[in-house]
Amino acid sequence: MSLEELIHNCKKGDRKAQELLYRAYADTLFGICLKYSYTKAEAEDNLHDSFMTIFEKIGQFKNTGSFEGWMKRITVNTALQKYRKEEYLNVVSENTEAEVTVDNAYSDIDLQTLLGYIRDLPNKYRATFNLYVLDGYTHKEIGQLLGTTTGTSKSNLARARILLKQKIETKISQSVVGILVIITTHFL
Amino acid sequence: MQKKKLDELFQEKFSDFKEAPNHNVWRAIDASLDKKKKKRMIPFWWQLGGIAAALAITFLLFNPFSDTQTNDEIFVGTQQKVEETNSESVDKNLVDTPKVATEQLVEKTSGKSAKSQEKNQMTTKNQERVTQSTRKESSISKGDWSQNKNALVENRTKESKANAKDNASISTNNSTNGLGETLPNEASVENAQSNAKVVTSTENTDKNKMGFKGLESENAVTANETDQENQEISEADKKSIFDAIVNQEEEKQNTTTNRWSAGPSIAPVYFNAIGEGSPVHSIFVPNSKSGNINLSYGLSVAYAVSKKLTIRSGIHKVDYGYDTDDVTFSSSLNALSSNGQIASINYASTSKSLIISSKEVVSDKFNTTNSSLDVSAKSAVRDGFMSQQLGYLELPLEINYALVDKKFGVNLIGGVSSLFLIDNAVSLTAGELTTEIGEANNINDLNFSANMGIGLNYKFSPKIRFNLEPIFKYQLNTFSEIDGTFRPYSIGVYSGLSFKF
Repeated sequence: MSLEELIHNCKKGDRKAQELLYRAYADTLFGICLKYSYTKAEAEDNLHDSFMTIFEKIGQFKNTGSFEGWMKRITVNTALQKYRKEEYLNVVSENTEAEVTVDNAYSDIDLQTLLGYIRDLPNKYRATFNLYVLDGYTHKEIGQLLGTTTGTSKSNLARARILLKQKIETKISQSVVGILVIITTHFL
Repeated sequence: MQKKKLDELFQEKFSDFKEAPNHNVWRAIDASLDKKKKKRMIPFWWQLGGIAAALAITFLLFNPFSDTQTNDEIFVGTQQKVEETNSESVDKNLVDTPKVATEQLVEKTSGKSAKSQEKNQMTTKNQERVTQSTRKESSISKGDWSQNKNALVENRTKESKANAKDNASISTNNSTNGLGETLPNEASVENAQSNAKVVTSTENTDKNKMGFKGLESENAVTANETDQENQEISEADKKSIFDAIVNQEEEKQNTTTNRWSAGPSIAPVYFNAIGEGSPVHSIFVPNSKSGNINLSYGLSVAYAVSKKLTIRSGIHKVDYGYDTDDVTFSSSLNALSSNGQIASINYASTSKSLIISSKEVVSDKFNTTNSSLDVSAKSAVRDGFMSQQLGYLELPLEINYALVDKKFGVNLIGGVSSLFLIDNAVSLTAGELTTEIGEANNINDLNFSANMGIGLNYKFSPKIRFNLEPIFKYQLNTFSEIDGTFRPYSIGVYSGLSFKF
C-alpha cells in the first residue's frame, strides 16, 4: 500500500490503515516525544494524544507537503501544549548569542545519556533547545509556539546550553574520579 | 584539546533519533478511537431524525390540503456544560498499584548488592516524577482520552511489575551503567527501595535494551508473556478505575450548579388538521376548513441530564381553533320541533333556535333555505363560518438534544404533551355578528400530542438564554368521534428566555 493509499484509508477511518500508519511512524514520533517530555510516561501520553489528533485531523491534510513533517509538527505542538501557559521568570543573559563549546573528548557520550540531560532541563529550556537546535525552528516561531518573545526564547536557549554543558562536563569528571578511585583501591 | 560546538554534538546524536514506544500505547489509541466512533453514532441518527422532522414540518407548511401560513411556537430548553477532570482517582490508582508491586520486589532486591540499592534510590526520584507528571497530565487531559490514558498508566505499572520479576536477575548487570553517578543518603535506602519498586523495573528494561543488546530477545519474550498477564489483570482492575472515575464525575456533577433552568415562553400557534372531515357533523365534511392562529404562553422548566441532553417540562395555556367555511344559519322554531340540532353540540340556552347548515350539502334536516319562508322565522338566512375554539392546559414532557452548543445553539426536540381541556366553544360568525352556539360534546377532556421540533438559542450570558423553537405537535385524541378524517395538529414558534439556577 502506498503512503497515499494509506492516508486515503485513514481519512475514511479504516482501523487497519490507522494501525499501519501508527506502526510506520510511532518510533520516529516517539523519539520526538521523548525529547520534549520530562518522563517516559509523559512521552507515551503525548504520543497517544498526537496520534489521536493526527487521526482526527487527517482529513485536513491536503497531500501537498510532507506528511511526515505534518505529523511531526502535530507531535511537537502536542508536547508543547502543556508548557504554553507556564510562566518563567526570565533573566536575560548578557551574551545570549555566544557559542557554547565542549571538549571534543565528550563526543562519544551515548545518546541516552544526552537524552537524559535534555529531559532534566526545565520545561521551557528543554522545549527551546529542542525546537531551535534539533528541530530547526527559528526564535520567532518558538516565540509563537511557546507564547514568549524572541528575546526570551534566545535567553532560554542560552541557559539551556549552559546547563547542558555543565552536565556533560560534571559527568565526565565524575567518571574520571570514579576510575581513579577504583584504580587506587585496587593497588592498595 | 579540540573544542566542539555543543549544538553539533547534540545534532549528530539526535539526527535520526527513534525509539519504539510501549505497545500499550497503540492499545490505548485503539480504545480511544473506538470510543470516539461510538460517540459519533448517536448524533448521526439524531441528525437523521432531525432531517426527517424538518421534512415533515416543511411538508405540512406547504402541503396541498391546507391553506396555511407559518406560525410560531417557542420552547425553553437548557444545556449545561460540566467539564471534569479525573485527576484524583488517577492518583489513587497510581499510588495503589505500585505498593503491591513493591513488596514483591523488595524481597528480591533485598539480597542484592549495594550498587543496585543505590540505583533504586536514583529511580525513586523518577518514580516521584512519574507520579507528578501523570498528575499534571490527568488534569490537562480532555474528556474521552483521559480514561484510556488512565488505562495506559495502569498497564504501564502492571507491565513494569511483571518485567521486574524477569529482570530481577539481570538488574545487577545494569548497575554498571550507573557507574559514577551520585549516590545520596544511604540511610534512606529502605524508603528508596519501597518507592523504587515499579519504576526500577521500567528503567531496567530500558537499559537492558540499550546497553545489553544480547538480552533483547529475552526481554521480547518476557514482554509477550507479561502482555497476557497484563491484559487479564488490567481488565479486572480497569473496572475499578472507571467506576472510580464515574463516581468522581457524578460527585462533581452533583456539586456543580446550573443544572436547572426555567423561564417564560410565548408562541403564536397555528392549528389545523390533516384530511377532510368535521368533528362537528358529517354535513360539514366537504366544507373547507381554515386554521386559526392563537396564542400559547407559559412557563418552562428544564433539567440538564448531561451536557447534551436536557429533559424539560412546564405548563402552558394554549388555545386552538379552526373555522368551517360556507355555513348558513338562521333562527327558527323548527329547530326545536324538527330535532334540527347538531348532536355533537350542547346548545347554549340562548342558541337553541339556531339551525345550522352547510352550503355544500343539501340536507332536509338542517335546511335553512325554507326557514325564510317560515312565518315563525326570527331572522333571515345568514351566510358565514362556524368556529370551534379549544382551550387547553398543556403539560409537555420533552427531551432536548444539543447538536450545537456554543454561543449560538441548535437542539432537536421531541416529546409528548398532556392537554387538559379547559375551554370549549362553537360559534357562528356572519359579517360582524358572532353568536355562540354552545359546547362541543365530542371533545376529550384529556388529550395527548406527539411533539417534535428544532430549538435555536442564543446565550446572552452563561445564565440567560434566548430560545426560538418551531415545534410541530400532532394531536392524538382530540375528538372522541369524528366524521371523515380530521387529524388535528399545531405548529408553533415558541420564543422565550430561560434562566439557569
